Amino acid sequence: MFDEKTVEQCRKLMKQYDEAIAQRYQGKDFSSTTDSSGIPIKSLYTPLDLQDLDFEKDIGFPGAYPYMRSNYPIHYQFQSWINQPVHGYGLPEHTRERMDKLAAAGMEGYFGGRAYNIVCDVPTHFGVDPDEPDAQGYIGKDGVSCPTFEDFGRMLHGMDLTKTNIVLINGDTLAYLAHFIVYAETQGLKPSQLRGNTMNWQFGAWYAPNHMWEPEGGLKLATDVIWFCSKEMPNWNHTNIQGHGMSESGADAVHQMTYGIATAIAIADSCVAAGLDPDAFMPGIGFQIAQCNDFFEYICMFRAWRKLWANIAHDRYGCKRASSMQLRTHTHTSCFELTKQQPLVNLIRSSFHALGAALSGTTAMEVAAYDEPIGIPTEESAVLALRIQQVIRHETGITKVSDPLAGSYYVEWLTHRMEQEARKILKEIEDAGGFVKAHKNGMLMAELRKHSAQWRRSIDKGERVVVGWNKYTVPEKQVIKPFRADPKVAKVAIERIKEFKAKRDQAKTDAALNALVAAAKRLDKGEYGHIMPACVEAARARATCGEISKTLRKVFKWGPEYTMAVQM
Amino acid sequence: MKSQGRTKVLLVKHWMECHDRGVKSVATILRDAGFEVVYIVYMRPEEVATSAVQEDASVIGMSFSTGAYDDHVPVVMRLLKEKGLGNVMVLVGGLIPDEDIDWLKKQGIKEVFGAGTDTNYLIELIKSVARN
Repeated sequence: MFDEKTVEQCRKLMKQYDEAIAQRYQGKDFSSTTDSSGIPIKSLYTPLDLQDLDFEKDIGFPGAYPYMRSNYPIHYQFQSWINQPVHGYGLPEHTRERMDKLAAAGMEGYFGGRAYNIVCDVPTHFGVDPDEPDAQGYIGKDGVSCPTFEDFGRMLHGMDLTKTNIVLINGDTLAYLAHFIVYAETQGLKPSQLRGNTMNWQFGAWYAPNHMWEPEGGLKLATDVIWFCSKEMPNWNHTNIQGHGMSESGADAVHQMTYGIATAIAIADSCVAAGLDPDAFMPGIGFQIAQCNDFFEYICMFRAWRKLWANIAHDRYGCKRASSMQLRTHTHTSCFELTKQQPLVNLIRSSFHALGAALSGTTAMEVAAYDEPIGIPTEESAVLALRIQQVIRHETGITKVSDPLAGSYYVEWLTHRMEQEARKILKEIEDAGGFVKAHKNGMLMAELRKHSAQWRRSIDKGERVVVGWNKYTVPEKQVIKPFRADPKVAKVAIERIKEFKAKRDQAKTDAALNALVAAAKRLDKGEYGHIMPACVEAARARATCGEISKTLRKVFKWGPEYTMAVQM
Repeated sequence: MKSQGRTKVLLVKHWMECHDRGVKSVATILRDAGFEVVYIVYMRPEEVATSAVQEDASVIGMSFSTGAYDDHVPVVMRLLKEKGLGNVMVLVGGLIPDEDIDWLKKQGIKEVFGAGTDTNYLIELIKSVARN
């Protein structure tokens, strides 16, 4: 990449540099490894490390294929990232209070629009209604209890959904999306007018300990959600690949990127096999990316991830649209690296994570609140986390230039190296018979566990310093008051779901659920396009999220035996 | 690794809890310390007591990241007593606000661990079961 004169100069200076080190430090070795992925790191990078790179192919320009430097030629100078703090607790009206407070604190979507990143509680996540025994102890505690379209109404009333971006963080996407669509219908809106995001995790959350779909069935369900959204919801991003979850479960930077891409490939392959046009569904796939402590490594991961994804979209799927090749990213700053000890220090950690994400050119951001290791955020901690984003955007000046770290010998070398590492692992997965097989035989989970155990061991031994945990400790007394949802939530949620069911024509509900069984059987045979309309019809007939999810489980296998994460 | 004899640790987490890095770290640390460790994901708290009988566990570690201990712990403690396992040491870990620790101890929980646990203390505590 550099002319002969520069390379010659570099060689000469490198020799002098090595001699200076030998003289000053008596031959001590200063090379190290990165914290996360174990890539050997030298103490200096120069043009000599980039000699094999091709400028146009390996670095290029922002806004041009393969988009390593940014999706857009002009990025934050024109359009800032979306503020997407995760929020949700208690009853829908409680969550609405937090939505309004964050909006009042300046939480913005693109160009000052409204965007809400709403998380439901775990029962709603997994199709368990509040009146079921399994839900007890969990209602409204870590997210909003929202199992019906009436609950969506309690949360979203008065909002113009054609102009508001609603992210639905939920595990059992089909039932939840169906109820969201039915709520929109009550406002006179069609699915095509809605904008936002579903997670579509029936297959993608393979690293989680929750009961799961049998992988092949989960993949079919995920594909049919994409089928529906590609045809009926052009403004809807249907699928979110949870790199952050993989990171929290133990993946290092290279494996977060690689396993994220491998999950997406499995889904995209399934969509192609179902007959969908890649340029119709690829733009709806996004990645949730964890930005962790090792500052440069995670920036380089991000850049390599954009390039790899563009290459795969172009070469493997023959995509032609730029939006099919551009990596849509929601940054979720690291949580496992935050400490319960001296929790205000987490504000400092998260600021660095968020700065790294902004320097990486992310398109949306959730910054973890400082009380994350104690509970879900209080209003104060949630607003402070938003303030981190606002300070970076308005005060640091880093938004003036696209991909400002490009051209750093270290950054370009590490980006390239991480791309090479990821390609190796992607090939290993292909060689193992593809992602589904690698997932089922435990290969992926074993890697996550290995790395998480190494991380913990290095802290316990004091090899890795965590400020306030294993060094610079002080006697702790927890002064932070943990956030707690209103204790009456469970009682009200149970009353509401009973009331919701009491208002229905049971024969009509039963018929809709029977029709859903028939649609599920068709999907099981490989006939796509019937299941989401059947879910919407069931929601119209006032079948709850829990009832719709459990109906699907009559046809598609679901249960603890598919929870690979439990295997030790 | 030296075996710790009959000290068997049952680690449990509810199926809807999404965050299991902590409990798995504990599993690895205890195995490395020579204990026999079984990890299960349960649906109802009743299963914890049943599994404790089946596994002949001396120690149970319940992990919570979503706050359901107020509902699940009293059920598990009652059932253990009913099944004659009142002397099994039960520990709780995860995301537990300090202000809830006293309440948990009143339910019969021996110790509450959270983020940044001193693993040596955990190991010594479990070894004390074998000694008694």
